[in-house]
Amino acid sequence: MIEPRWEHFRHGADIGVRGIGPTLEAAFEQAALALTAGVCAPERIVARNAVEVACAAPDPEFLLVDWLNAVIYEMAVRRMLFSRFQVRIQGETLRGTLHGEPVDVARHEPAVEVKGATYTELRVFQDPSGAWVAQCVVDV
Amino acid sequence: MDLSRFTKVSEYEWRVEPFGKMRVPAVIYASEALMRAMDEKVFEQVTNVATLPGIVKASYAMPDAHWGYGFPIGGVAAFDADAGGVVSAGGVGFDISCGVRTLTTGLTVAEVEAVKKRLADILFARIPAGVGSTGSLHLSMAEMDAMLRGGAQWAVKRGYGTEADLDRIEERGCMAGADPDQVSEQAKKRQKGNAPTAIAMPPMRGMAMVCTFLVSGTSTICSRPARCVNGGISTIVTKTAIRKPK
Repeated sequence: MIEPRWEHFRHGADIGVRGIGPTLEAAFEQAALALTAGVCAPERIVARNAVEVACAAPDPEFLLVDWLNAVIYEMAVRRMLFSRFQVRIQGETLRGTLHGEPVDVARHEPAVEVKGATYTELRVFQDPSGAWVAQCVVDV
Repeated sequence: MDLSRFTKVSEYEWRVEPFGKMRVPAVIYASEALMRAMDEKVFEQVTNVATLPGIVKASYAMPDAHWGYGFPIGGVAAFDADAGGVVSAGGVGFDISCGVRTLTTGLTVAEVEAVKKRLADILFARIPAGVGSTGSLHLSMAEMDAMLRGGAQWAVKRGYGTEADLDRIEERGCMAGADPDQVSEQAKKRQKGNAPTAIAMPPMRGMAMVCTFLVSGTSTICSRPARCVNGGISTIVTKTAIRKPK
């Protein structure tokens, strides 16, 4: 049984985000949660509003970058933070639902602004235990 | 950083002769202490830049060099278009071309030292940076197109600089033929609440700031002043017009 989880990995000036899960979709969801965790503790965010996004890319690694960038875009334009993610992937297309709420600086205490997902340390793969791993460095 | 791969040319100049696919040497300007403190990625990136088509003379890095995307931050290179040289919107920083400008204010270090903390607080309060922040300048889409087309000249027209500032900027702060239609609606929307940060701002008169960092990039947008390892304050100043604190 592979528990979905996320972690950060070290980068000189930015943040490495890594999502791990039993499926590709779960790994993408966890990677988005790792991204949020770079801004503030996800448990501070109430998942009261839902936002739909869609993106497409020719391979899972580019799709991860597009997915994270879609999340970052919604965070920036809507001035929201998200703490729950649902991802459906069909072929080259990803559809995602982001659950969160408008930024409340006093309550969320956002530490940094994520500007974009990058190709640095970009990897999407299934490890020997069968867990899917989706990771890259995000620019903050 | 392991210095055994460098030839020490002088006290502040370190050189890597071309190896592998490098077309030119790599040169870093820094003291030995700074060199030792740099991360290994600087070596990897500065030598990588030396492999790019059309590179002229050498791949350089400034004393503040650190791990970037593509170039190291603090990387400098020129490319000859006639020799198949590459064109990059921003070799340093994959998205926004982080940069540092030196501004002269006429103030002495002692004068600034006395108000440094208050000054930093005012800068943070005035400049939109980070999640949940908004700037005081909000542009319509039409006005944003005018900004994108006019660059620093647009900024000067609106009182954020002087004609003399433009003399110090490449192409007088405005590249001919800029076409805002090439910028996606998405990108414009994202920038909307942060308009002042999108302006390549020339050094301003009356700005109460003394910066001592070397110029290490070409443009002036940065949204992480609090964390910038170049030294946050100097990066902040490049972003927008800040009036001298009263």
